[in-house]
Amino acid sequence: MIASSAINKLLSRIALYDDSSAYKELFLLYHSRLVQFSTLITHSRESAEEVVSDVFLKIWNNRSSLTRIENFHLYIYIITKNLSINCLSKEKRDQSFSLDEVMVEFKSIYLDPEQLMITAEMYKRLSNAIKELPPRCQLIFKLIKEDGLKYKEAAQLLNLSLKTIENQMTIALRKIGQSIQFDLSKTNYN
Amino acid sequence: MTENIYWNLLAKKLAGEATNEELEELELLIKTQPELVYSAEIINNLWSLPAKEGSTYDAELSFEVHLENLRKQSVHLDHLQTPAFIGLEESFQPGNKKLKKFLYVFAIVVCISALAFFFWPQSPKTVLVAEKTFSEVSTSPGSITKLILPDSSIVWLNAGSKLTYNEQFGVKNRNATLSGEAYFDVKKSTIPFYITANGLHIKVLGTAFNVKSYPGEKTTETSLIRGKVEVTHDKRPGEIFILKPNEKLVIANENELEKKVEDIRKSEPRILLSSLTHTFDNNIIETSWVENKLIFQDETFEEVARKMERKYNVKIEIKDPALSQLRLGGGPFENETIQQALVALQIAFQFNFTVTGNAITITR
Repeated sequence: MIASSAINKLLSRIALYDDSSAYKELFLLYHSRLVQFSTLITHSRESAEEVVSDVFLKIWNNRSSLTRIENFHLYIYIITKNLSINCLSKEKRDQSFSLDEVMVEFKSIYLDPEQLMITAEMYKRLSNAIKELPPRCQLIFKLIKEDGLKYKEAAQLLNLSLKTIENQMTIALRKIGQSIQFDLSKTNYN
Repeated sequence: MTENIYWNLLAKKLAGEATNEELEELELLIKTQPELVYSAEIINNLWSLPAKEGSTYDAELSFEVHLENLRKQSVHLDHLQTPAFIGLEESFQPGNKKLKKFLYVFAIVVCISALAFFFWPQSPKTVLVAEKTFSEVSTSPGSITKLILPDSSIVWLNAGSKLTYNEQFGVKNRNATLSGEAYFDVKKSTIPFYITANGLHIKVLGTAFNVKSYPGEKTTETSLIRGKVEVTHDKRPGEIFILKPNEKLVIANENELEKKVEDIRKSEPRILLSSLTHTFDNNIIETSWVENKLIFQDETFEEVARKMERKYNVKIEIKDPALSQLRLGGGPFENETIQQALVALQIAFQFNFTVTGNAITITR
């Protein structure tokens, strides 16, 4: 997660002093997560890299107004989303990007059984539970957990209602939770 | 159904969305259904696993590609330090001997100019005197000016300040003299940038820093935002102070009156190295004037009055000596009038003020 005070500091350095090293820092902070997010829409890592470069071109060109952006974290995801959709071919764009076709790759759920202190058997269940979540659910789970978006922000970004985000998060946690609970009931402690 | 409520609350808790009531409700649910504790803990652990970061090498490489894209759009980022990538480019283009050759030649040129600079019979100070044509930029009270020097360094000149530099600036030398306060964003170059301010000499290569040296004020301050600067003082020959980012060097100026009384005492300026003052919302007090913000923290009323005089182009007189030594904190004042600012200060500190035209009198 990125601390917003650190981001604001970088933004004002860029906005006020054209500070190119702060610009680079900002790029390094966001690059990987934005490329992942853009890949979900463009289905191409290469296009995603181009999209993110365009996003940062936009940021540099509008640098003087950076400090006036109320929620930069959401703003940069929205630009990334818009530019990613623009990059789709015309007929694809008309169908708009479907939340149910995204391929989500988790960076923080690498399920290290040792770190989680669970058995190999449970680990298998857990990872299956996550894989079996509907794509839309995975995407929302990822945006909240890994990209540090607030519910409200995720709703705004994906044009969904707050209630939908809440429901999808509930589903994600319930499925994951049940995969472990199930195991617990079968464990024989004697 | 209760189970859904439980998962919903747990998700909200993990995402930092839960209200206090919701947290209490969750506590209660966990207490009444102990079988949920285990899964909650595992999910908690799962949630707190840090994301595996992509290697910084990849991101750096992408940044280099990004810079290339910018150049194609003819957007040039100035003085960006990417020394690592000189090596990278070489390894990607093993046959690129031209680049290598260029770098060697470049390095030799740099060395020669550096040597020439240090061994040239004239010291930079005499150069400044020898060349007669000077440019002078000054600001009146109440106004801040941004200017771009011939070498494309950027300077914000605070109210009531003066910056002088000669005709050769940016060609043969980068020597400037400051009276007052200025924020410098110095363009990287092999020609060192020298600033002289009230006996203080600051040498930099490429960096951003603030110098405050108003005649009549008790101290001369150098605050470094990034990069590195070397500071020397006429009265402390042989000593070099090297500032790191976020540090500030305060040198006490000699008080003319004091000097006469204590003639025998050595007139060595007192020196203090401290860090910059950040407010809770990340403003750096030392450079807040660049954004036309007036912020102060633990400063005497006297000092605050001088800052207000510059920002608002007024004369402030504090009638009560005890009051002028009172330490204040306040701000940021940006678009407020001087009256509004003073009224805001009255909330925390007891004083009266009267305004007659440009003159403000402060009494107990």
